[in-house]
This record gives sequence, structure tokens and C-alpha cells, in this order.
Amino acid sequence: MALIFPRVAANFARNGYYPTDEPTIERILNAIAAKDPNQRIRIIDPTAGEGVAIAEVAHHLGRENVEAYAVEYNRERADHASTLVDHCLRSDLMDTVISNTSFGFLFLNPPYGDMAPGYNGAIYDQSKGRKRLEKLFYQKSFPMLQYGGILTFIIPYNQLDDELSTWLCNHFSQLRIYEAVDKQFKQVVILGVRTKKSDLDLADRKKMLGVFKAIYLGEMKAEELPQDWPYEPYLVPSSKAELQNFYQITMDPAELAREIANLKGLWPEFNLHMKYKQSVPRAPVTKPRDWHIAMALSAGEISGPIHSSETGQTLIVKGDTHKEKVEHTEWKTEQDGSKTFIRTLIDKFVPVIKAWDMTDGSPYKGKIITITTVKDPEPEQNVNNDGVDLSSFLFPIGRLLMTRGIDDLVQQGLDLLPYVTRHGQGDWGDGYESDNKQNDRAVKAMVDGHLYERVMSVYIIDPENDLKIWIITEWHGDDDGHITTVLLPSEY
Amino acid sequence: MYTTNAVRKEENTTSLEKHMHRLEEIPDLMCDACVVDKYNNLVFLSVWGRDTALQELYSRITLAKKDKEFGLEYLTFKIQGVRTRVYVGNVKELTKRSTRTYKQTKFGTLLHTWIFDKSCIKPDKANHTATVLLEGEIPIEEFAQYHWSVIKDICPLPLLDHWRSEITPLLIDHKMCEDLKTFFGQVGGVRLILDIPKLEESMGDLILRDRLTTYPTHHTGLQH
Repeated sequence: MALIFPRVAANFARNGYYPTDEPTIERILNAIAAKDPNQRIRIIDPTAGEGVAIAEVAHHLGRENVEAYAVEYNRERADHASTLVDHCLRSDLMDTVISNTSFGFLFLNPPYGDMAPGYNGAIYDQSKGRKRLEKLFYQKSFPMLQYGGILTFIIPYNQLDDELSTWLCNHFSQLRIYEAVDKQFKQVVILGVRTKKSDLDLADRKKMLGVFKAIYLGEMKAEELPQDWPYEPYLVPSSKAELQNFYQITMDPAELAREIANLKGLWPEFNLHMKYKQSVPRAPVTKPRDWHIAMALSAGEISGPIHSSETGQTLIVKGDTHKEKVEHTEWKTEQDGSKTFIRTLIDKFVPVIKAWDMTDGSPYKGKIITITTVKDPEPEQNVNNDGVDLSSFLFPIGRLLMTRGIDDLVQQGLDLLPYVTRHGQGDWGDGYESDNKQNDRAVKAMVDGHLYERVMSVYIIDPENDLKIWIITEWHGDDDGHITTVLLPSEY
Repeated sequence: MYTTNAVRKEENTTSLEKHMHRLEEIPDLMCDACVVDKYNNLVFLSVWGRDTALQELYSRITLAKKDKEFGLEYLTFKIQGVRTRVYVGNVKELTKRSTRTYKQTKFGTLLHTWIFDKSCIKPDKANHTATVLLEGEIPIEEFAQYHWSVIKDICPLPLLDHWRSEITPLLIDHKMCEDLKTFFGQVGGVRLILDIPKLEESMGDLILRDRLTTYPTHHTGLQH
């Protein structure tokens, strides 16, 4: 026996804590054996105390193949138990979630006593007779055993009333009852194999009920747990399925802190997540030409002091480029005389280079010199749809874009609004009949207010010069939504 | 020194075990770090809990004022015996990072989540603001170096590295650099809000007085 702490255990025997005495544990071990010695066995003690009993069972069954689980309410005892078993919860058993039919062996030496009214574990209480803690713990624990799993249940014989006897006889076969070696607490040790009700031998069941009753009433005395087990040992089955649940419900700050010390969470990646990604400047692979320098400067990639030998100026420069929206507004007069306001926003990239004048004697010393310019408009422009009557549209046109070629036409006076409106209202214009039918189908097949297939209209602007425009609306996913593009066929 | 907050070690904590703070509004959530700004608005919060409880937190702070019954405008922690409120502020500016689910912990399936202001990971160059967070015990020089690189990033004015010792006190004097408060945990930081006109004026003054020079040595920098 590698793990014996009888003196330590004896010290804990107070305040309703009755650890199983060492000779009794030893003799229980003689009565059990592993069914498949090289397979994983899962065992549990839901009221583990210091965890001595379950640790000894684990050793007896072959420590390396056994996963030992324990639950203990007292913090000091739980701390001790957690050094002996593989998984230990410091928790009230009634505040735990532990999977049913998952353990091959259950060691149950519950607290004894009448339940206080309003005891917070009472929602699990199924007792109709005397409300006893050992009954509550029995009800919570026995379902953890898999069928064929072995129960070791230790209670004072005078608590083995009709109700508890009936439960035991309904859940277990091959029941045997013995007196514990230590007589101080009048304990009996009950061994059994969890069995489906349909597989119970009714004659045996009746016989055991009689035995339990006689012992309960004191008419009969259970014999002492034999030193040398005279029968075939109870065989603890292996546990093949994974254990789904073994946790406590209420968060305990100290226990969680320990768990976090193992899990670590996001903490090891703090810098990865929370530091700005900054590019490290690298030396150019080749001597930069003027335009390289101009690009790098306006992109903000290079900065620092420069000297001009011609003017004698010293500047410290830094560049940056940002996007600006240039607003273009106009009023349009419709054919019926009404006016619509169209606001066009054009993205412009604006490089700005700022420089400190460091030149001694310069009137600008200590002043910022700003160099900026405005690039050509980008080829695609955002057109605001303020002037469009959206309510008559068959589908959302979303963001309206036009190409450079269309922009040129608009500058020359082309009004896009009527075409976009016709497009939105399902007047597909001058395209092929088959394409128009396809458009109609796409509009009919809309789900959740968006198109799954694109729709396209063709409008002839100037038949003589074969000038046509295309308007295409497509769904670009949740982020971008619908985008309607006005373009020339040649720009497709 | 403005860096002390970031490098301060949490009191009453052993190096192995973090002190967990229960969120009073949702007791199934435990927090191991919390950083706020000077108005006690949430900047960074590290939360552990089950998925259901975290979803509850996200939804309740998103509702905030909109739902009187469930919305949370502030979170309450007991910090060294004192009830302390952390205001959620502008929920649209918050974002999050989460781990995968840890299965089979002592508390079932657990997640770790950080909820934080977007400015912690994305400096706002247009408004010249940024939040700098650091975790653990960082040497002051390392912090200052990182802090400076963020300043250079959000400041449109040219800055030279050897100006750091002149510029950083300037930022503090003009309240452009504020310590964030660490309620608990090993995260700390500063918020930078650069006032460019004021900075331009002060720096110009320093250049005129040759306190800021082109080169680290004290010659004029004029080569030709």
C-alpha cells in the first residue's frame, strides 16, 4: 500500500467528517479488481475528504490506467485530495454537473444527518421518507455509475430505512452488506453492481430487502468485512466513452484563478493583439531615384532632416497621405419642372508633407512649412442617391458608382438619373430579350431583400454614334450590400 | 513618471495566482484585469466565463440605455471592499477578442474574452489619438520606446528620436498624455490626445531656443 495516511486521516475526524477507517478501506480493496487490467477505468468519490480512500482504490486497480475523480467541499481537504487524484472539484456536490453512467466505480461515504429545512441542495432531494443527507447524496451520486459499475456505500446501519433499502435493491444486484472494521460509527459497507431494473433477479431483490430490514431493525447483525475476500472479486469495468461533464456551476474566484493559471487564455498573446503593428524601416535594396523618394516621403515611409546645399536650408520633413472627400453638388431640373439635388462625393488622396525649418537665421525657423497637392480624381466616384425616388424601385440599388467614361459624359451634360430610375423600376432598356427575362427572374427570386443574381440594363444614349450605357446591380455580401455601377460597354 | 501605471504590479497578489473579481451584475463572470480612463469609462476588461454568461454581457452592454430593465450602462466590482462602477461609455467604440472554448475545466466550458476600446489597437491618425496598453512588468525604457513610436505614428509634425526627452514632458504638461487607471490586473496604459496647434507652437518655440536641434549633439546642425 503506497498511499496510507491513517494518522492524518484520523486528525480530520471531526465536524461531521468521518473518513473511512484504514482497515475497512484495505478490506474493500480485497473485494474489488479491474475487469480489463490494461484499459482505462474511471472512478469517483463525490465526498472525498482528503481523497485517501479513492487514491487507494486507484492504486489497487492499477494507477496508470485509472482516472480518479473527487469532489470535496472543505477547502483544505480538497487541496489535499487534489494532490492524490487526477481531477478534484472543491465544491458542494449539489453545485456540480457530473455526467451520468460514466464511472466504473463509485466510493460513497456521504455525510450523515437530518437535512436542515431549506438546505440548498434540496432540489435534488427525491426522498419521501425522512429527509437525510445520505439519501440526498445517494440520489445525486448513484447515477454517475455506468451499468455494471461497482458501488461501495458506507452508512450507519440504523439509517438503512425502507426507502433507502428499496432504492439500493432497485438500482443494484449482487448486493452484499458488511460491518465496517471500526465500530465507532456503527457503519455498514454495502457493495453492489449497478444493474438495469429489467435485469434484476426479483428473488434476490426480495431476499436483500429482508436482510437490510433485519439489519436496520437490529434483528440481525451484519458480519464484519472479511480480511480475506472469500468470493470472486467485484470486477470494475473499464470506461470507454469520454467523460462529458465534471464541473461545478458556481464560479469560485480562488479556484478559477488556479484554473486560469493553467489555461492562460489570451494573456500570452497580449502583445500580438494589443500592440500596434508598426512597420520596421528597412534600407532600400537599390539607391532610390527621385520619384522613389517622392513616393516614400508622401507615403510617410521616410522622414528626417534634409539639407539643401543651394539654399543653405535645413528642414526636417515628414510626409503623409490621407483620403479626402471632395463634394460636388448640383440642382437638376426634371421634365415636370421639379428639382432634385444631387450631391457627389469624390475620393481624393491628398499627400501632405510637413517640414520644420531648422535653418539658423531664417525668418521661418521653428515654423512648419506645409507642401501639399491634389491628385486627379479617382476613376470611380461615389454618387449620392439623394435625388432618386427609391420607393418605386423593385430592388435596392445600394451604392451608385460610375466609371471614368461615364463621368466624362456627365461632365458633358448627360443626366444619369432617368436611366438609373428606369433600371430600378425594372425597365431594362434596349438589351436582348433573353437578358431582360433573366433580370425579371432575378428580381422575382430575391430573398431577404437582396439579389442573388445580378441585373443588367442597357440604354442607347445616342443611336447615331452607337453610344450605349450599361447599368449593373449586384449583391456584394453583407458588408458592402448592393452596388450599382454605370459604365460604358468598352469599360466592362 | 508617467509610465508607473503601466508597470505597476497588482497589490495583494502572488505572482502565480491572479485575483479574480466577480462582476456583480452577472455573477457567473469573473474578471482578472480592468483599465479605465479618468472618467471611469471602460478601456480594457478581461473576462472569464461560460459562453451563455458572456453573451449576456455583450447584449446587456450593447443595450445600455435602450433597455431600462436589462441594459447595463455600468459594471460593478467590489475592489478591496469598495463597490466600484466601470462605465461602458460608447459601446460602438468597443471591440473584443476571445479564445476558443476551453472544454472540461473545473467550471465546465470556459471562454476568455477581452473587451476594449478600439483605440487600443487602432490609432486614430485623423484625430491624433491613441491608447497604449501594456501587460505585465515592462521595463520603463521599453515602455517609453513603444510609447514614443506611437506618438510618432499619430503626430503629423516631423519628430526626431532625440527629441523624445523634450517632447514627452511637453505632452504631460499640456495634458495630451493621460495615465489610465488600473482597477485590477496587470494591465496599464496611457491615452494620447495630441493637440496639434498647441504642439506646433510649443515645439516651434523649442526650436527657436535651440532646445530641439537637427542632431543630437548641441551644434547647430547647419552643414553648409
